[in-house]
Amino acid sequence: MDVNTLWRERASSFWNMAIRYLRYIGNSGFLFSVYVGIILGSYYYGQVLKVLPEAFPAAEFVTILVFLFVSRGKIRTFLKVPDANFLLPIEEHFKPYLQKSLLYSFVMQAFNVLVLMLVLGPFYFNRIDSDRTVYFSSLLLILFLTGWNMFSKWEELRVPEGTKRKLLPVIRMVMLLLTLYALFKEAWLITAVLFIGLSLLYMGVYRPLSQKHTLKWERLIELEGNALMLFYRVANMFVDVPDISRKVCKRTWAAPLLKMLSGKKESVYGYMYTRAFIRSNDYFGIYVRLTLIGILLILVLPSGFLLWAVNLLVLYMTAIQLTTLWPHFDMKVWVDLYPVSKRERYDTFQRLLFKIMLSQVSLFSISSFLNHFSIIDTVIILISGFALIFVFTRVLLFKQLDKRFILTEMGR
Amino acid sequence: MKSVLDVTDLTGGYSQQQPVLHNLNFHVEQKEIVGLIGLNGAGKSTTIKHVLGLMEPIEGTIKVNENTIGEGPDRYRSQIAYIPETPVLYDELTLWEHLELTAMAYDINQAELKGRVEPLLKEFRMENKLKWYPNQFSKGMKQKVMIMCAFLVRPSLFVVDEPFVGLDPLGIQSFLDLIVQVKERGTGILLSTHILSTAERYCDRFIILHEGRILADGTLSEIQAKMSMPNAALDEIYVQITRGA
Repeated sequence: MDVNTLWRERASSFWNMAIRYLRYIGNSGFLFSVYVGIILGSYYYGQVLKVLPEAFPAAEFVTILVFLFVSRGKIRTFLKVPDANFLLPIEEHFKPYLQKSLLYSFVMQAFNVLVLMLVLGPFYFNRIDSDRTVYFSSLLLILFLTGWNMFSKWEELRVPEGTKRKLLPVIRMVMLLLTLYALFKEAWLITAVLFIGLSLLYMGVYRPLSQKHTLKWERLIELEGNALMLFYRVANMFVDVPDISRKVCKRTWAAPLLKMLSGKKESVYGYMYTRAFIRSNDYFGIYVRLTLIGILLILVLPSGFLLWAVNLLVLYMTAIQLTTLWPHFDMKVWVDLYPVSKRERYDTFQRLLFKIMLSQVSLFSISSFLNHFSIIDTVIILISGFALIFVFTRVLLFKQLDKRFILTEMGR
Repeated sequence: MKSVLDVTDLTGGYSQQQPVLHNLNFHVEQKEIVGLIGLNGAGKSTTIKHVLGLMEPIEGTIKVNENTIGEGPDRYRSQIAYIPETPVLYDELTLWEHLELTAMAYDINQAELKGRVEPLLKEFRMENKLKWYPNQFSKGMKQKVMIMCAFLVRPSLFVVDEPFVGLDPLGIQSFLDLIVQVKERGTGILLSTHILSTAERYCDRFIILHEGRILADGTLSEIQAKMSMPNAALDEIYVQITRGA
């Protein structure tokens, strides 16, 4: 069997699927907001460069930002679950397939790093070094680091669970941070020494792992599944993705929220939806992320129209995202068999959404008060937010859900 | 008889700090069916994953025909055929393509493939479903696809994880007949199952696994003697052993 063809087929079938979703995302008006963002961003970028104090820790800032990109090392293998059954006897023949995957992953990662460095360019010339040669050689070294990280991580994946498995990524991360910092601090001698260290580490520690340990198929397949799921989840913000699978996080620390959200009189749907909200997939993650973004924006924006608009915008985005919780149980046959009316399901869902949104607008009002100590701003945020939530749960929610699921039979 | 599978002092599991299997010793010989028996979570599937080389032993060795996986994964694995507990198929491949893929992976040529497949398709009554995709199959049919793929290969070791669930009675009988046939040809079979009455009828020896340890092993009469429960059925002995442990 030709594994090279297999790889090409799988990569292209992924991209065919991805392009379909990307087209949806492009059509959804997202691209337009990206353009606006870029234009506004580049304007403010120049402004920020001008007013940034001399004491700003430029090297540290760039180090951390670049580290976040370089250290990710996302490996796409396009493996499928049945591979661990059907392809086991040809593991050795499979090498070219995996090499292709690694190369592909490196190119994708390098592209991301390149874009980041391009964006950081003006900042770099302004604050770190105005010499182009230094910038481009640093860029080259950073791409080398990206590759080093990816290939080391790849070998690391063979190591079975245990102390070694936990220790190796730590070593990798520390080395990356040190090297990047030395590079941006322009400590050339130390950088050179660190690069020699990196090479030795790869040859002496990471590379030999492939001799000592077997390929961990299940881990690779899980990793690929996660990468795919991440793509689906991003796409799911714009368009319904049927392939999205459900992951469960325990989030024990959030257990007290269950009681608060489901209220005193627990109903079947209240019971199910609150648990799904907290534990399943990413509903809670979306809520927390959007809330944090909202708080952050409210804390930095000057008081006035923009502040009020951001409040409403984030609230609306959260509400829209959370409506995807509604069909969460639709594939479970027994839910339809419960002797509970559909009307009650809708009412419970509405109440839950109302409570969740109320918590968000409260957090926003508090942050706004902490920022401006202005009663007026806080009241406007609270009242307008409350009005939005009210309208959303009373009117828009039904329309939103009715577009995708037929609710008319509930007699509303 | 020559042994095809040798498991020596196997301690294993996903985490080195918390092994799931403790010091397992067993073997499977040519021309024998060994039943791997245990409660849910006893470590049967983990044992099987170790045998397949999907997991690495924390300690101990696993040899198939005197080879470890370290000496060459492909040589090691080409001697094993495996039927998983839950059928996993490629959504985008037809029944025939699954068979063809298996033939490629195990280096079976087209002519041989055709010769081996026909009786299998007939036995499992799937002749007219060659062009079907997995989403058109019931769970039992998917299981049949996995079974046919495994029987297509003529390995020295057969590893079977709970094959009976989801199969119709005729399917179960066909599977058992084929297993006996394969055994007569000299294959060793490691069969993990909960269906003790069937295991009792078909297995030559048993390994009773409980919480990652082997509580008893041997032929039924050996285990009966050890437990001093003469004439007791396998289920009775099993309940007795696991309750006492």
